[in-house]
Parts: sequence; C-alpha cells; structure tokens
Amino acid sequence: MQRGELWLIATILLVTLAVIVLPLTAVPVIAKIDEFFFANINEELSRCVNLNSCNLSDFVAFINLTSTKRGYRLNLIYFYCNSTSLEIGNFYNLNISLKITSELTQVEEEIENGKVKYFDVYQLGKHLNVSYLGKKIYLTCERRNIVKDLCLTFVDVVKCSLE
Amino acid sequence: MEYTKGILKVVEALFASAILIFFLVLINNAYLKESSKIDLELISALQDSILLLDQNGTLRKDATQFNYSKIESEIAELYNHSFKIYVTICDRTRCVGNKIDTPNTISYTIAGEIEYGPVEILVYAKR
Repeated sequence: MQRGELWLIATILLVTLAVIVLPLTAVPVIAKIDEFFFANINEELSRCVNLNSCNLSDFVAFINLTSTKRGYRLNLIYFYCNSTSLEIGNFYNLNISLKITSELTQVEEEIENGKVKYFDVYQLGKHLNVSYLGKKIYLTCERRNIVKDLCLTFVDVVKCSLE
Repeated sequence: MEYTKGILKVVEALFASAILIFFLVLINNAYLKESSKIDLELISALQDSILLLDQNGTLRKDATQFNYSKIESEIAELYNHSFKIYVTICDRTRCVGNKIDTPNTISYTIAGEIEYGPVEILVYAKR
C-alpha cells in the first residue's frame, strides 16, 4: 500500500468520526427530551377531546406552533368522533386520500394539508374502517373517541405513534 | 529535488491534519459541549414535578391565569428549594414570567379546563 493511499484511508476515517460518530453521541440527550414532549402532546390531545371548551383543530395549530419553536416538525392526522359527527384534521404536511368503509356506506375523500373535514355519523355509520397512506384504523363512534397518527421529527430522530 | 519533494509532502500532510482537527473541534463544540451542559437528572426532576402539579389539578388553572410565580414556588418546594426555578408561560401572542439562559429547560403544553386557552409552560432550572 502506498503512502498516498494510507493518507486517504486516514482522512476517510477521521471525517467519518467527525460527521457521524461525534454527532451520534448527542442523540440520547435529544431522544430523552423528545419523549417527554411527545407524551405531553399525545396526552393533551386526548384530554382536549374531553373538555367541552376545547377546539381540537385550534389546539393542534397551537401545538404545531410550540413544536416549531422548539425545532420539532409535527405531522399529525386525527379522527375525532362522537355519536353525531366525525371530524378529520389533516396536519400531516401533505394532502391525504382516505377511504372510509362502514356497514352503511363507503366514502373516498381527499383532505388537503391544514384542512379539517366534518362528516355526519348518521350517514356514515358508527363503526368505521378508515384506510390512508397504507395504514388502516378502526373507529367506533358510539361515544367521544379520538385516534391520532402523530409523528415528531427532530434533527434526524423520528418518533411516531398511532393510537 | 527529492528532499524538496519530501518537505512539500510533510507541509501538505500538516495542512491536511490542521484542517481535519479544525473541523473536529468545531463539531465537538457544536454537539458535545452543548449536550454536556444538559443535566439529565435535573430535567427528569422538572418533568416529574410538572406532571405531579398537573395531577394535583392546580397547574391548569394557574397556567391559564399566567400565575407563573405560584408554579415556580410549587416546583421549588417539591425539591426543598435545592434548585433555582424560573417559569415562563406563553400563549399565542405573549410570554409572561422569568427566564434564564440554560439548556436545562422543559416545555409543557396544556389547555385550560374551564376556559379553553392553550398555553406552553417553560420551566428553567439551575443548581
């Protein structure tokens, strides 16, 4: 092996150390903070549903604001229903096509990013299967219920939940 | 001639090493120095205390009324004033309270119980 090649290998090793290994040592700290923030958002969204005064889409907009301030990127789609109406809020940063299937009907809808759509549960039925982005969820609208598909991104760390 | 070539190679190698060391120091400062200032034990204590206050039911009311000094003293009391606590409460348009420049900060978002008014509580701590 020539001396030039040795230099090249040494340079590649050092650059790898500088660009990949050192930044990775900061990840556990980031992940720790992420977890609390993530749990807080998830919990508060569920609580909001049970507060009469809470406006879900407005609350999501506020959460989006606080997430951005802290350098997080929020992707969220929620399905909130009670015995009369279904509300779908798309804050996933992309337009989403979804299919709602129930014992009564089958509906295909596209929801633009940042928009909220409302549906009549009397027409849709109370037991709904929803598919979108290759995912499937089951929603029962006999009482207040929420399903959230939430992702938070910070640097290159992505944390998601669908519940 | 060979001798001059050798010296040039050495100078070249020194320059390459200097550039690499410069980048290593730069990245080290950007990532590790910042993260080493983070006191995970302190952050965990802040997280536990804010959750406890929320469970006790007073946090929601205090936060939506921008009563930051009450939250500050309640968190400090939980740990016998062993940390200095500063709290800022922000809604969409304004922030009220005290703040210090520290990475030991947590953010907690809540909506009001009786009157809907979402706020973000920022808790800063210093040993």
